[in-house]
Amino acid sequence: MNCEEVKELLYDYIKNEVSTPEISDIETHLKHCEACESELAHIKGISSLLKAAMEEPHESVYLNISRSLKPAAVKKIAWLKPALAAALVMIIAAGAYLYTLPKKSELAEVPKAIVESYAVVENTYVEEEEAEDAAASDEGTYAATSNYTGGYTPVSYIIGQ
Amino acid sequence: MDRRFEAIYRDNARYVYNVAIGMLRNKTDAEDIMQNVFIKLFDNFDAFRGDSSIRTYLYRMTVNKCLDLFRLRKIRESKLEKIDLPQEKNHSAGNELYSLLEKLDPDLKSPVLLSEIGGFSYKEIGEILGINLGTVKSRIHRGMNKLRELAAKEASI
Repeated sequence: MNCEEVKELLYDYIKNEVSTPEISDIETHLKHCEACESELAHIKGISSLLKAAMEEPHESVYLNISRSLKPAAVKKIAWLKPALAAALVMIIAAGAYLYTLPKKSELAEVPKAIVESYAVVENTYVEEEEAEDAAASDEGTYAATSNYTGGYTPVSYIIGQ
Repeated sequence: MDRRFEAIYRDNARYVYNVAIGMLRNKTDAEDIMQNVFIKLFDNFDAFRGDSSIRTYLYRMTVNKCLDLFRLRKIRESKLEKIDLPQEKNHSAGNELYSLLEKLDPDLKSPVLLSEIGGFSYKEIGEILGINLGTVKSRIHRGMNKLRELAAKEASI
């Protein structure tokens, strides 16, 4: 390596930004070259002066930063907003679901309808027995009757088929 | 202050401050920038993963804010009449060196300061400034050579 090449790499050498072979070449050259050795000393001198000129920031900077930071509580509950929003959506959805369910008064109609249908069946069975008796006595045409007017077709009731 | 923040502040404040002073040669401006940068970092701390990204962010913000302020000053200076203003005395030692540093272009100043004050590698400097490794080397070499020339000129006067 010649002086021009070495001088180009001296700062990189100080900063450990050269390869291992380059380190070896530079150090070999420096052993025998006062000019490059002097150049290295100048660069190190400027580097030292820059570091020596450093100052500490005033403590008031630290205090101002501390005072200006967002309170930890505000940051900690930052997750709360989306959680509340999700809970609200669930409450609305649950409310909508409950609204679509049949009302209690409507539900009460169902057993009533079933009871009434059984009552019709029972009545019909009574009438049927009477009809059978009548038929047995005079071989009249058996006719099924139903006085159920509820609008439902009794499931267990099929006569005359 | 949160303990994590305190540790980050204590580890980096001195270097951030001196990079800002080196860029602007004004203590008040350097303190303002330093405050803004640390407040922004701590308020958005949860977004960071790992110390290296924190340091890169810290110094990138510092350099960018210094460059913004530097450009703003240049615009203002070009609009004002030339008035002799007393120079603010920033340092008891090394004042001359910082006055030499002031004569460098911001593009040359920032990588030199990040290398000398921040102690960053060339690769890290490239990440902070958004430039490639070759450009980092070139600017640092030119910056240091210019400083040496200016120092030699001062010494000969």
